[in-house]
Amino acid sequence: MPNQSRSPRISVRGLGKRFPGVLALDRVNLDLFPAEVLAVVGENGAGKSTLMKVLSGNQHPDSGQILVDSKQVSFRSPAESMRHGIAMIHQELNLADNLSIAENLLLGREPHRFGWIAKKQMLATASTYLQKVGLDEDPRRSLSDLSIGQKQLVEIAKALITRANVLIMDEPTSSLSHHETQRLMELITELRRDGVSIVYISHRLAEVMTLADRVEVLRDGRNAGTLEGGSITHDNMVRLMVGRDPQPLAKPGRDDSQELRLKVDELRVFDGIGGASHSASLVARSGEIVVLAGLVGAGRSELLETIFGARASLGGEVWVGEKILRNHTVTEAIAAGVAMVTEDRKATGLFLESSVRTNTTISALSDAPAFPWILPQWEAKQTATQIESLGIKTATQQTAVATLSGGNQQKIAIAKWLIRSPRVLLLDEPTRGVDIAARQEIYSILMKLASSGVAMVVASSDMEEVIAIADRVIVMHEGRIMGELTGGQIQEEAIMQLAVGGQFADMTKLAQSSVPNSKP
Amino acid sequence: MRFQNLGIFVLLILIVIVTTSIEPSFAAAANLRSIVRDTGLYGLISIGVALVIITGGIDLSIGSLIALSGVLLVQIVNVQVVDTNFESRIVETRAEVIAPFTGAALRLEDPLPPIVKGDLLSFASTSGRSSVVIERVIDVGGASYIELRDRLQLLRPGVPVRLQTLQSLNPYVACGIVLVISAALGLLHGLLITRANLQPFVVTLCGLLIYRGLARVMTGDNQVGLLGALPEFKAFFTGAVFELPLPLVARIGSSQAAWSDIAWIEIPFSGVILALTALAAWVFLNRMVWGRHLLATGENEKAARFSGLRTRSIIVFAYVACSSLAGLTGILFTLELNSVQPGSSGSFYELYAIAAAVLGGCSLRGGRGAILSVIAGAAVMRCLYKAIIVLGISQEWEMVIIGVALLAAVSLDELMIRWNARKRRHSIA
Repeated sequence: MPNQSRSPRISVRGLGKRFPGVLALDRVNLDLFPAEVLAVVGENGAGKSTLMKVLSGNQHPDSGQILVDSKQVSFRSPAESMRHGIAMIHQELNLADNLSIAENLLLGREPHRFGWIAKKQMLATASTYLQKVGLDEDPRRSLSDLSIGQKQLVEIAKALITRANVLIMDEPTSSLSHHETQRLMELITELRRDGVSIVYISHRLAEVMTLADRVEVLRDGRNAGTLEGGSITHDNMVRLMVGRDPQPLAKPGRDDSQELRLKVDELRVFDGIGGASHSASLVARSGEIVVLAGLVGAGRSELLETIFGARASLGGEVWVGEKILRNHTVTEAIAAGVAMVTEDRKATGLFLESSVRTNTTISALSDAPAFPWILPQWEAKQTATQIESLGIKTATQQTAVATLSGGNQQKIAIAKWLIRSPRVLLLDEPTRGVDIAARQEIYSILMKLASSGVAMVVASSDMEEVIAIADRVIVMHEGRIMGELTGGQIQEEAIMQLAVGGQFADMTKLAQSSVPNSKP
Repeated sequence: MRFQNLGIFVLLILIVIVTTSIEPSFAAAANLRSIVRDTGLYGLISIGVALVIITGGIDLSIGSLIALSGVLLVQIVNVQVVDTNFESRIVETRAEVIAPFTGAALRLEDPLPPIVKGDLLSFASTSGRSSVVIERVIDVGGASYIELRDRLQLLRPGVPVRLQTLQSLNPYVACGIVLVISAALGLLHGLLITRANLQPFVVTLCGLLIYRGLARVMTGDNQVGLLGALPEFKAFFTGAVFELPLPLVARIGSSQAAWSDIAWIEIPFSGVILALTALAAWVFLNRMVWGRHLLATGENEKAARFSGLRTRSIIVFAYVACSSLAGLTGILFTLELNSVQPGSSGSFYELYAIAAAVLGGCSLRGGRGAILSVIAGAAVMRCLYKAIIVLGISQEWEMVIIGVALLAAVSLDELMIRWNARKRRHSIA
């Protein structure tokens, strides 16, 4: 627990920042004490990123003060912020893949003698700090050999080399595996013990509950409340974030008598290198939501893409209703009534520079009434229907999708398939990068689709989401289906147990003990 | 979106106004005709390359393909001089040109069978046999005179001559074959790019080298031509299709004309075919599903694939269309100039076409392009070229001026995009 009697290391008073059209920060206050983990949570657009950009010197505030060790400062660049001991670990890592670990660690501050880089000294420093963050790698290795989690550790080590005593971490676990997440949490606890203050930004409330000494909730650019100790609960955070109580989902019951819409039989997924992963079989009935759970890299996206025909298959069968998909192509799958909402909507789901209308109708044009002609009236009508029924917030149908919020973009990524009335809908991480309010709306869209008879297979890493929407959970581990859970079996512990390959791993245990596991 | 490329139209009008105000003859009917003709020829390849650029690709082989298709056309048409069995002797020659004659003429012993323009008379000379081209046959005072295109040379009364005629393949068949070959080369480009995953730049760079090389090999690097063959065919594809009446222009182009005079601008075949191609391309991009798919594929190929579009076929189509239009342009240039210089015909044309497409707002990153602006881009470059001639600027400056204009237009476009974005931001705030 932080010592409240001590003066804060960083104190933010009445910070304001206006962007054209939006007040990003409105009289925001924030205190960060030495040796504490302060979680900052809030929906997308709540002002977290702007606040952190101001603190790390990437943006200049319009009003308000920043005090570091009770002295007022003004950061004109990230370098000035770093000079005051503040380092930011970015969501997109700022490392050079073509350099070695050591070169990355000491980029711009290489030890040198007469203009030549002192290699020995460089490797020694690098080793010291790699040890500190618990990364057991040769500093001469190329950074590109490391996993994302390992790269993150390199970035933290880089920050420590600059003698930073405040680390700002923006969604640090968003692309980490379960093991790497645990390792990071241990490291954060160690750093806190060494006196480092950490600002932890995350959408994953379970992690926040595990780590945070205090939680600062932002909503619409303002302070919505501070939680401390026992008051840090899931419901409290959500209430402050959305400004109202979370609503439970109205989920239709599961019905095994419904017709089989999708049958995947011994499908062998191409691993992209030359081999096949294990084969997978699953079924989905009309009106059923089957969730594929597992850790990052468990092969869920790959399985969905293979069912959809976007990835080569090395054997096995996919049946949609009574029809077998023989060619394993996207066009064939779509023609049979399969649709897929991809994980990365910006890269594979949407045409960002194009209009809402173009995006909504793109996959339906080939079967539109006037084919091969495009009827603008038909497009306008179809798009209007989707905007209405999914509650998409856009100025006009001609607005470029890039200008919409993540939630509205995701709704369009779904709408472009609903226009075809699919029989089977595959969704890969349908609420990634979507704020809580829109997330609830997407869940109710899925429920509506379920009650209209659509069979859905959803890959999800969000445990709350899995439990909230699943009729059946299929857990994957390293490309293999480990087991299936239904009804009352659908619980976090059971899912985690299967997801790590059968070994028991208990997140809640870690949460209870503030002392992390000692080093091996 | 709609007014994004307004800059190029403004630039076009500006060039015309400025040049005409300095040198009114820029607006002369003959000059306007040749601008329309050249814009037609360059516009066709600009549309072709625009389709490719929209997919995010590039085609560098256009200029070489123009030369190759020209050479192919000449070789397939295969003009040959064939002896007929008509032989006769010269009775009379006339060297002086007096009406109704417009050239040297002669009269033969025997009546000439029906001939076509371009037929020849061959005769023995010191260097073996020579021949002269027949221009026409005129009856003067009951006698039938043969008017020659050339001078009389060694022709004197009493010299025996033999009628020769030009034989060639049906030109429509020949053009069809050339177009099929061009389309096949485009298909090859498309397949290498989509199936073998080669980069468009590399594939078409190889095309640039190979087709130019083949054109030179096939001709022994010598100029080849259609000679006097196919006069009607050539006349049709290079002549005026109709005349466009323009008010005021006559007076602007020449101070001798009155303001009420109407200038009749001959619209050549290439101008008409450009208009038709542009219309087809516009309809394709704006009103047809495949055009929408082309734009979508260019903007985000992965998303297009995940949306169920046949992205490979779409990309292949763009290269086929581009090469076919290059082949067509090669045919039209050959008919226009009557000959092909295998080493230099069409060289740099791909760059003019790419420049026109970029001037017309196509992004080399793909996904963006409007046909009308691309044609305006082609027109800008032809107008600049003509302006340089009309204003008496030395020819060496042509590329410098076009390069500077391109740079200016692209910079202006970028400035306008930023200015609009800022205005939009302020209007929200």
